[in-house]
Amino acid sequence: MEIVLDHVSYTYQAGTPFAGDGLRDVSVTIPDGAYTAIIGQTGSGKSTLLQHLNALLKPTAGTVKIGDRLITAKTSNKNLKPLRAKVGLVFQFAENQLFEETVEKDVAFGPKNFGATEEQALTQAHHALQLVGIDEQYYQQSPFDLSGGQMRRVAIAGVLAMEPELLILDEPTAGLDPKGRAELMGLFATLHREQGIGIVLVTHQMEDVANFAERVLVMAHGQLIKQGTPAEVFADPAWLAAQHLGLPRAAQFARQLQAKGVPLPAVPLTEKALAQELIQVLHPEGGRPS
Amino acid sequence: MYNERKRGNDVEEPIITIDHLTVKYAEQQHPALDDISLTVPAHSWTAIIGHNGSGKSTMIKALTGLVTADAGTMTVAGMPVDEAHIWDIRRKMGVVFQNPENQFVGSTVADDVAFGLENAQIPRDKMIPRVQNALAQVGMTDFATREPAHLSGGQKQRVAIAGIVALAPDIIALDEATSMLDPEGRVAVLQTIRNLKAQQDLTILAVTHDLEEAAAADNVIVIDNGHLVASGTPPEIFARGEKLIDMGLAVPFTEQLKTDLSNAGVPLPAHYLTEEEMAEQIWKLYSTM
Repeated sequence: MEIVLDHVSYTYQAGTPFAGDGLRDVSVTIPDGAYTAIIGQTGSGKSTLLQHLNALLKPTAGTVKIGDRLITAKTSNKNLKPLRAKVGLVFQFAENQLFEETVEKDVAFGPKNFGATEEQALTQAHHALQLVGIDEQYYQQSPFDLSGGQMRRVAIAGVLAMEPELLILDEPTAGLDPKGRAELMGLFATLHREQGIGIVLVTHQMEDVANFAERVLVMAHGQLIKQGTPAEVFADPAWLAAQHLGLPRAAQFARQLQAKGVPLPAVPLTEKALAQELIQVLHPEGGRPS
Repeated sequence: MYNERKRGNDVEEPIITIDHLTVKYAEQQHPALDDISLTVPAHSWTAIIGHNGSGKSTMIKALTGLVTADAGTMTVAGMPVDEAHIWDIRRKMGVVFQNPENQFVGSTVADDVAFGLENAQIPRDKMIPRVQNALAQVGMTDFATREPAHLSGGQKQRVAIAGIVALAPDIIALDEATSMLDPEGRVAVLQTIRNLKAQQDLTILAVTHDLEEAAAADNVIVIDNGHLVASGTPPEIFARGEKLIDMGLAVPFTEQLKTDLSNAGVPLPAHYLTEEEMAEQIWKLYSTM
């Protein structure tokens, strides 16, 4: 499902003394099935943009086209359910939204709410729980007795149970330990690769952008200031620094080496790419490409 | 900066002692903390690392009396952690929790930072500059009159940190307090805490997943499934390489790169290298080729 934002502006608390710009004249297309990362400093409008992708917020000006639905300032809140089932939104700290008595019921709530039968909802819930790696032994437990990482997975399963075509993730791994982070990022990559689910990921982790994203949108002060592939976006470190954004670790380290006088042919975005380049530059005896 | 910092070996009086501490939550089979003993030297920066659910946060809660010990004893700033001392201890040790969303009470950012000072009965004329100063130190001055509810996650966390900073305690405990900040915000907050530590001779106890943050600490304590599994300087801990993954952690970037290069035959020393040391080694190899 393609999403097209056409000159979208959004004003928070419009008409009050607290009014502030959330988005300013953003035009962008998010292609069907793509893996898109959105980066930008805290407060740059990333989360506001996300909430336009499933009509949780409606533009103050401009239009958002989600599949064949056109959303404008005047769109009524009725009949948005089918759209929200297709575009699953995982909020920051999604585990704060758990509420049911059991893990199974919590995950089945979404599909049931969107009209699935009890049985169908449970089937979808079990499938989603399997995807996120929550063992059957937890299905009848209270979600509140689980660890933070497990609660996050259950909350994500609640969105996956609706079998969305597009999964929108607002810093989904924040606060998780490195292992939990790697597992979740692996899950999203698998869903994208094997089921063709589109992913929109808001993140501060430039490593995740380098490792997973096909396209990157850069936000600042409510505006879309750049878009391109990770290589294109990370090609200009000075510009990124001016936007208060960093480089992936490997690219940062590569620049440190270049400054010392070690020549590297290209700016590597990942640790593996950096290792490859260094092996070629240093061509150790008996060295073999790994 | 690595050369400047004080190592844990420069023995200081412990400001926190934990002696055979066991904490078990009623609904759980295994103790969250199982027979933990450790000390935190005064004026040190001590990082506690471990995966989600390892018991790291429980330790901070036990020290501030938010959970009770099933066995063992603790002292903070020379006082035993018990009912008689808990309020004094909470004045000495401020905790910044992971998620500030649930901690907001003020209708504006400045009110929120002032809340702790009001509780401590600081007079208004002293309160105002302290609030302003605390907000300046976390880079939130421009937001003083905003409603906390309308801040982004990272901004909220900085306000929570300002609330602690305003109270000027002896120990600041950070319970993954930087995990929601953007990279720039994280650097700024850690730098703020570093400055505060230097100016006010604070002790920092930081629960974190961020190995880069831990790398800049004086001491690192590793907790796994309620057990203390390692403690030492960052180089001692990070030299464990792949074993860190088994503990739910990550291998530091330089260690990962070193492994890949060593496997390809690039001669590099076995001990842990900081990024700077690693760059130096690679440059030497290149320049003597």
